Amino acid sequence: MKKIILLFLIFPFLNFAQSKTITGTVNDENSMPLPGATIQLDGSTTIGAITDFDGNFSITIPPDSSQILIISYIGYINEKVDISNQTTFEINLSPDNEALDEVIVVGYGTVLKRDLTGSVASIKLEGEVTQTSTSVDQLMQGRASGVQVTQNSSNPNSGISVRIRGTNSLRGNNEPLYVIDGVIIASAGEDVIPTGTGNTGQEAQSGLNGINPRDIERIEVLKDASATAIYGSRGANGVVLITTKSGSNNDGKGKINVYLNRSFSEITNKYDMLDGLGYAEYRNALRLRSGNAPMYSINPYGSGQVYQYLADSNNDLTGVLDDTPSLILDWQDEMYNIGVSSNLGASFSGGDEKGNYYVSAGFNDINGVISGSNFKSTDLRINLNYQLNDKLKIEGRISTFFSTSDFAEGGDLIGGDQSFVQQVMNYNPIIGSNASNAEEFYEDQAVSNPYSWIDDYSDDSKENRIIASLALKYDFNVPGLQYEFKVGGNLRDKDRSRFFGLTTWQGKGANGLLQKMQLNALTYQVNNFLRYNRNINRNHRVNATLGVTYDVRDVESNVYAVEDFITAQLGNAQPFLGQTISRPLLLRASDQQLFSVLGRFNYTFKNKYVLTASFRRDGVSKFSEDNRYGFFPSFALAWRAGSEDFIQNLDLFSSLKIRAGWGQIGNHGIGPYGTLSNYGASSSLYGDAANGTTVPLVLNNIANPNLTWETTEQYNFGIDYGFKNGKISGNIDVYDKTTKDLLQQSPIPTSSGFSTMLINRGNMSNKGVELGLDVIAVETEDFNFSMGGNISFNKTKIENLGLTPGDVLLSDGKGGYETVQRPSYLGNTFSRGNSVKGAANIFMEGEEVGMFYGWKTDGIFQTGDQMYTINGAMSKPGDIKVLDLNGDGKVDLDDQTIIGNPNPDFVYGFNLNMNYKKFTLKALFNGVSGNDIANVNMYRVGWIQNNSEYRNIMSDAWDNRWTTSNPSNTHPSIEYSSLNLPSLMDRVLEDGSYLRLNSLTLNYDIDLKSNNFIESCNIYLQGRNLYTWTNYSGYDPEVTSFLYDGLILGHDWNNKPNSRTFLVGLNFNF
Amino acid sequence: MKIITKNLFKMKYIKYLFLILFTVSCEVDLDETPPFLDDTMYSDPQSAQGARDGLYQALTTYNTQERRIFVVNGHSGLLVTGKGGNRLNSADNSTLFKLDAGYHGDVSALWGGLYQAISRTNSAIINTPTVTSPSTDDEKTLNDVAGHAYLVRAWSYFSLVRLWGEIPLWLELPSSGNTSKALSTQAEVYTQIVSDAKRASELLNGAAGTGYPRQYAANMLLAKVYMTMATNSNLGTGTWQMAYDEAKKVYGQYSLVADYGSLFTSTTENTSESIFELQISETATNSQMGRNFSPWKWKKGFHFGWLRVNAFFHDYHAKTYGVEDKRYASTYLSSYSRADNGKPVKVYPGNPGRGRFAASHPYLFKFAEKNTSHAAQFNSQNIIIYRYADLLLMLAEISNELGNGEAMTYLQPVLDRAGVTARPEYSEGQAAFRNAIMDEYKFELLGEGEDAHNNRRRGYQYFLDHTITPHNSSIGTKVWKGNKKYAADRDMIYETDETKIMKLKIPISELNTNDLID
Repeated sequence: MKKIILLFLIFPFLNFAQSKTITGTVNDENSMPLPGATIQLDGSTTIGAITDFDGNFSITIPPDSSQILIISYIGYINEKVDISNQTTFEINLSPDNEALDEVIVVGYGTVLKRDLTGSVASIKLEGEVTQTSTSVDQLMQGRASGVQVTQNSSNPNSGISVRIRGTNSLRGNNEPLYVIDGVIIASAGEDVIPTGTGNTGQEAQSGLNGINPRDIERIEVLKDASATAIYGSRGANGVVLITTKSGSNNDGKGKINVYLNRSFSEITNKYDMLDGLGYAEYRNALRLRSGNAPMYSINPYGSGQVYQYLADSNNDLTGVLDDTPSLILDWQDEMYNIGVSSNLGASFSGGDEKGNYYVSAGFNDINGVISGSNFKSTDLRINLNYQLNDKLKIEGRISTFFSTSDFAEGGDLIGGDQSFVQQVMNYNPIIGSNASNAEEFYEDQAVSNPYSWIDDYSDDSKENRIIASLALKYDFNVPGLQYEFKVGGNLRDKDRSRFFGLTTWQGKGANGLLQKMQLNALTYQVNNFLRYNRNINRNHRVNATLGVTYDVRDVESNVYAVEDFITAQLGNAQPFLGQTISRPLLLRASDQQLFSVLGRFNYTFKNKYVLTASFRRDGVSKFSEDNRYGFFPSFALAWRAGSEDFIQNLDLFSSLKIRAGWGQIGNHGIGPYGTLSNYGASSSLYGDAANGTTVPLVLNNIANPNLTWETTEQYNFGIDYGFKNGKISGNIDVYDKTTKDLLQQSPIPTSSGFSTMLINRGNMSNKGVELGLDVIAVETEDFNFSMGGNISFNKTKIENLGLTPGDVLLSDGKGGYETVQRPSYLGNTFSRGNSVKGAANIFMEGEEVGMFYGWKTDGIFQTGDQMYTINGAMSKPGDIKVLDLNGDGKVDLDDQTIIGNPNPDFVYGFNLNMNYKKFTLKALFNGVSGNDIANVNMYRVGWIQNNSEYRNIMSDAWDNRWTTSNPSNTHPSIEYSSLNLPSLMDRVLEDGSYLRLNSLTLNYDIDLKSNNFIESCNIYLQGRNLYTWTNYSGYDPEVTSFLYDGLILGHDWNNKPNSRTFLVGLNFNF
Repeated sequence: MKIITKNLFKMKYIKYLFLILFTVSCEVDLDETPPFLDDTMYSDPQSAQGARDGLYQALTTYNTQERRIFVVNGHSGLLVTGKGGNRLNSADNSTLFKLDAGYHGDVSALWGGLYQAISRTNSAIINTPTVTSPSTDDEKTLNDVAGHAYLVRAWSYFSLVRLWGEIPLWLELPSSGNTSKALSTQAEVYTQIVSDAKRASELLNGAAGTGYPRQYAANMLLAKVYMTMATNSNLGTGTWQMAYDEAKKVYGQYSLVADYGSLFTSTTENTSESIFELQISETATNSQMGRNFSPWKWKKGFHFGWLRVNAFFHDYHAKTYGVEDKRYASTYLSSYSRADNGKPVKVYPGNPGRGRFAASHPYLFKFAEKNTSHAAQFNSQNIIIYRYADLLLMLAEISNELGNGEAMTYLQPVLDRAGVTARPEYSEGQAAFRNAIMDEYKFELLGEGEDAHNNRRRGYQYFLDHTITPHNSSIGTKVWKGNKKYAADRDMIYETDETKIMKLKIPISELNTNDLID
């Protein structure tokens, strides 16, 4: 080529008037020559040239042709040059930032966004969003299609649940895989193991602590199989890739960012319980019904007060009124206050051409709405990247996290007086002036009051966590070929200790009870990758990865409980003070190893056609040798139709890409050792003849040597589009996934001696559509307005259960019911008590997962109605009218049918962003629609509880009760009892749809004088969870009870109140 | 594409690199090494003894001990409860204690508890090697362990079949594809119980030492089984004579303790009277009986006072033998001082006012923690499952049925210890004797676990005529002490429907999961 150019230079005069030769140089944005750039005569397909290694070109154009040259280079914006008046020019091309430079993080590598074939949602995060969020899940809520986040925002340490494209399996834990800077953090549902002593039910805490939102640059959510298959058996529930920040290479000058904020939280709503006077009336009526004298004098002498009758030492009422009125409390007001929290942190970043650094530190002090509930954390992060020499680059990441929390706000999760939330709801609102005397009335139950939970209960967690990785990247002499060796891991130590003092129900029984639990988890991966990433010429681009990875998870948990304290003064500080060891130190190891070979090949032809193929072969220690290895392939194609001339000629789309993919992914989301019989120590001891102890040995599980992967096969079809120069952009994805050989901890008959067994059984499918749309409505210098939204429809269906069909009663679609044959099984029961004895969720072939199953009701039996037996007892006027659906003249288990659906029709989120001069206003909404919630708290407070007469109930239940003179059709009479019913009644089902103003943020950039040491500064105000539009009557429709129990869905059982938070923050850049 | 391949494989060392990587990785060991034992624990004499304790530990879990005592007493027609509030319409009084348990939570848990014990016995029976004539200590130990497994299995199935009737009969461990079991007839279950009890009596050899049952416990169990069969031909072949033969094997091997009250303390345990006793120890934290069943304010620590004897039965006992019956003071408690402030507490008959339900029935005192300053929730008082007095009553009953003239020989020592003279009914012929001895079980063994079974053993009509109807028809008549009457708002009216009172319902959780039960 050079020779030809030379030739033309020597003989310029040979160019007569007929043709014209143009020479020049094409450079990149930094004036560095661009070899291989294309120079094309506008309108011609035959006349063109390519720049040489120095960016030079020469082109001869025929006479009377166009005088316009088009200069193009992949990744740069095309330039047109008019050559009518010039024969030589030099041009700098500008990079095409819009599409090409955007690099998307995918499994074990990155791809250009334009080369992406799978369904990946990218969440880009901005300053105040990350600074005001306390956890990763908050960043995802409402911001990505196909992602449903369930969390309790009033409680920073409570368990969370993230579902990507529906429920994938029938196990409890359907959490996605989290990968931080390439390190797998498989701990979303991980917590200490409860000791199981002392009638306590422990609340799950978050396993994602330690990932500070502030350090997160971006989040990618991999949704379809072609994106996740490279994670093989770990990617079935979707993968969340988190990339933390790096310093910038460009400025030698370091950046300093400091922020602080302060927030105030209060509960959003309350249950409307009876007040003191109403309660006294209710209580007296119940006592009268049991043949007992009234306990309270209500409003004597027009005092507006309640006076209590005194009791003698034998607990008999004396008929003598207390001389001072009783104290009346609204326990919800009493217990839920304003929680004040602070959050501050700083980061330092910078770099030069050799490397960069990002260092940050933060401190959170979060106080919940219950006094004493607190979460403190400190974190540090160092991210370093350095080019050691031409070939070798080193990347290091280390982050540490230390936290303490006290009294996660739910308290205990089991019912009655053993649950904080329930006690606050239904504790007696009347405190006699002689309080200890008042307590005596509860006799054998000896109830503690809600204050015991604050004064005499602690649930302390300490967590230390280190996440670190080190990568070495070596560039071979072959251009584009790189080898990476990376080790990364996560060390997590958690101590949780719960102390029940002498006034708590549990502590009173045990004379002080201390439970200590520890978790030591070390997970690490050793990765070897070979990558090839190169544009071969203008038509071919290859991005390939081949890797070997070894993934180890060593987890040791231990539990210990001691009680009968010689003194309770030290609380949980000294276990030695307990005299009886109710749970000897028990270790539970759960180790797993995974060895995998993986690869991905991404090939782009002519910038228009993209193929991705990936595979992974996993071997996992959890399965027996025959079932140990699994192979998980995927293929996907994308067509960048927007680059085709005929599309461009339409002048409609600014971008258009059509994607299709298929893949298979496995899942082994069960604990280890499931294929082995565990003979070992029983969790309890046995006595000996000398009142000492012996250690019993027992078989703890039923081994299933046949266990193997569950496999999810997924098809995805998607379109990415942009209009009006990208001002309107969005995507549509349609998917269909089927999971086979579902791994389940299946309930088995207790007559077998065991209650569950791990098995592979059944198939289920998820089909759905996801839509995303972003619109830049106004874009001017002073005013900008943009909005975005996403909506995801998902339908889960149980395709096959592998069970023999049984009789079930289902609607015949014509208003009647018919018995049909369907395989099904029931889930778990929410309560160990007397509320409902049966399970409320059914898993039935042909239906969605966990449909509510139980009795249909129709108001209240009225005088004159046809009566029949319900659960063996004859109904009477004033009872809840359970319908005899099969018409056999009685209501029993055979009258159960599907009564509701806990699965939403769709989840959605949208945001509005406005910017006027120095003000920015942002709003984020998220919502869920079409699901039912079983508010099973109603079994305690929703109607009269004549069998547990000391508990408060809702005002409605008393005021609107059925009596002969007030034949209410909403609430049963005082004679009614719903004890031990074997079935859930549909009257507790409510529509769980909601739309929430998740956050509203107003930011103001403060003007600073140029000489100021502070470069820039902004102040922001934020309201979180400001308003929820819902018809749900409980505390919060975002139900978090039983998050990790796949066999209890959509139940609100002691769900915590949600809180609304107001926050003010300041942010400085130096 | 060629370019890529060419470029890649030009670099030979890359091939080597990968070769190394794959070689290294293929050696990665993916076998699990969990920290637990395997089924060889049954053949190792040392760990087999741990497995033996696992069998008995299964009988002392909350489900099979506290809940069993609560359920069988609620199911007896002789007791009431203060659990969940001292009211007749409390959750338990209106269901289980009223003899209409329905889908009761404790009933369901007891089912699971007994079957858990059975699965442990199945595992032990399958895996423990036994020999016909053990000679070495190890052989004796292993035979004995297997014997305990058969005994516990027989006892557990006997409990189940009497409470529920037709039940699943598991003799192996469940496995993938074998988790459901259809109901077996009562006769099939009884056949298995007989076979297991016989095997237990052959294998048990006393190697376990103090605190563990010997082969006589199996003979006693077998005698009870035959007695049950003797009045119900549906259960299989069992006669009074067969019962006699088995009971006689036990006769003379044990003796009554002098002080009836000493049977219910933690200081005198595993006595000469004890045939089958569960070892409870505060340090093993395997019993909350003292917490659950100590009367209100009786002791210092938290406790519930869940079991009370209904006033009618108490009165019947008091009227029959008088409070001089030495069993009386150890069985009932109605007047005592509060442990917290020393003030008096009186319930019926200590307080004959019967002002409210809570004060209308005496407490069952047998399981109360006897140390009133005891503060912990776990205590040490052992649970006696079978004792010699029961065997003597059985022999008296059997002899009466056989008409062999030996009845009083066995009965008299029991009455003597109680310090009472034989009721006239004991000398008024076979039928009168029969009714009296059926009462005697109640007086002697009230609350200890056999009442629900004994009361039903002779069929529905006998249960109705001798336990339920006398109680129900007492409403409106005068109580033994004071001027009050039995009243419908103080005293329970028991259910009488045969379908409700004779058998418990199979738990919902079982119905929901067992494919082979409708």
